[in-house]
Amino acid sequence: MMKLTDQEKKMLNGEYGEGTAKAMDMVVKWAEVYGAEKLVDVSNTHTSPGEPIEWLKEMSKGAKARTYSTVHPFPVDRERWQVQGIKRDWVEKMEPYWQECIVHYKRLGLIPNFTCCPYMVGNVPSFRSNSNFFGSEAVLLTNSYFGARNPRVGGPACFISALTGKAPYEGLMIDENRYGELLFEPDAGLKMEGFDHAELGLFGYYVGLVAQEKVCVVNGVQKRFDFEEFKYLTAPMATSGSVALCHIVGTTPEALTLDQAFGPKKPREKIVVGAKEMKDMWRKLNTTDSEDVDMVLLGCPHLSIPELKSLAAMLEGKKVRSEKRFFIAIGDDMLNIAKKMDLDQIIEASGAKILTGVCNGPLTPWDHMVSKPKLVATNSAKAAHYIYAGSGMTVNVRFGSTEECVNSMITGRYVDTGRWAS
Amino acid sequence: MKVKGNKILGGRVIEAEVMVQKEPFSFFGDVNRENGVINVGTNAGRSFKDKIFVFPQSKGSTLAPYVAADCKRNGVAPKAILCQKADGVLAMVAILADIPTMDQFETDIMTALKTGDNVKVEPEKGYIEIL
Repeated sequence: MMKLTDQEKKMLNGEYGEGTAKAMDMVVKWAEVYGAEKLVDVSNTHTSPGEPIEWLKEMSKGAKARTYSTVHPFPVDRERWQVQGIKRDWVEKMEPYWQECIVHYKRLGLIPNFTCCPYMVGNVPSFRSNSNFFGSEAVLLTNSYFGARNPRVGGPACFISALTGKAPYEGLMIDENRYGELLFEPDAGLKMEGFDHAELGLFGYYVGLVAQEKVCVVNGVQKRFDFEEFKYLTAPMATSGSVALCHIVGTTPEALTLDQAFGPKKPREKIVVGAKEMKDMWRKLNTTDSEDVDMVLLGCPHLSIPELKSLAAMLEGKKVRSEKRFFIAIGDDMLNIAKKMDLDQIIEASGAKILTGVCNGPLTPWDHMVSKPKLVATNSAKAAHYIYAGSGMTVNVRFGSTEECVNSMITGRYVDTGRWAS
Repeated sequence: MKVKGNKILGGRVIEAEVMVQKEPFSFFGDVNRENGVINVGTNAGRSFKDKIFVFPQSKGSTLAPYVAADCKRNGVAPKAILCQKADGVLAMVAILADIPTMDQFETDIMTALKTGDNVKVEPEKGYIEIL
């Protein structure tokens, strides 16, 4: 039988308000599903927009966030939907619902800043702390890069953790479940140390496809990946699969050495990744060989300031062709920083458009666009996957480096310059 | 015939007709939340409303529980869910939409159950009974 602390019992009995009691009841049921022996304190959460409004209303009565809590992006930029090319009638139909959601978020104390990279806006769980982040990439990054304990249960679970500050002691919250199961190594010819963001995406997309939900370890890379590299490498693992934890030996805190990553366990299997696998993934993500790209989408996950700096350097003094559409997604708070450095001016002077608070690609409402593109290019393996699938295979995709995407908007032709075209 | 299984969410006993979906299932994308009509696979074009809905395993987006809750609110949700292997997302489907759910049966329910069978689901006692 599960033990509850006095505080948890009070929450359940309604002493902290009606909404808190409902959230606590759900946490307890969730714990019972897994036979958890106890609940643990959660310090950081990140929730999904899109809750049914009746449920949100019910939960908001007598409740408040007990964690540092941020909110994931919407399918459109609510300020710049016309720039984004979304139909007015659909936005006007959805807007009252979005506004009502925001009223509840504010009342509850969930910070409505709509980014898929909560760690860029101060929501950073510390090593070995418990968190509950929504978003497949946020789960993976929180578990792996920060070494926090984060379950992969999804939308409502993150919300009820936010309101109670609790989660069951189960799954990845338990140290023994965090050791590696599968070992991935690049073969000698791959020279992974020099990979650009898109090549890291190809590698990650393959890892996810093989691993599905297992804990992965990547070994044999002679460098420490920076935050941006880590983001592009791991996001696709939770796209082609549902990986929630990936140790990278030499980069992530629970994998200072290969031995530490596996602890008492032995790898079930060692998978060597070579040129064939990279080419296979390139073919999966490039749904056409056409060079006639209509649109480029960057910012899946949202771009960081270092990425905006390098993008500004690529675009300074250049012009995006008038028939092309170039959208760059970031969090609203990142736009404030970009403005302090004039990065937004340099980027938008080229004709590229910055969008904020929007999931650029995976949640794009293709059927509600004024003019749906035929062919989109992106540097994100995750976006490439979801653009094709999410559009019901009506929007084709070119996937490659940031430079290739940028150049296609300036020259009018998408030219692959990499090693993996097949 | 009784088949032992694991309770995910209980609270009540359900007796209803079975609908078997042979493919892994997600509430996000595989069903219309307005009318409960399934889009893909074995039961494409048919509604799971008031059925005991059976499938091999859950898959896909963590947004599924919100869709299931909408189905329930619209009065088109299944009465119970049985599957061979549930993930955390399906557990949240059961909890949020309040649908009695069981998994991990001692015999493969994908072969033991057929669409149209009458079944009693006893989550608290840990079994189902084919009537």
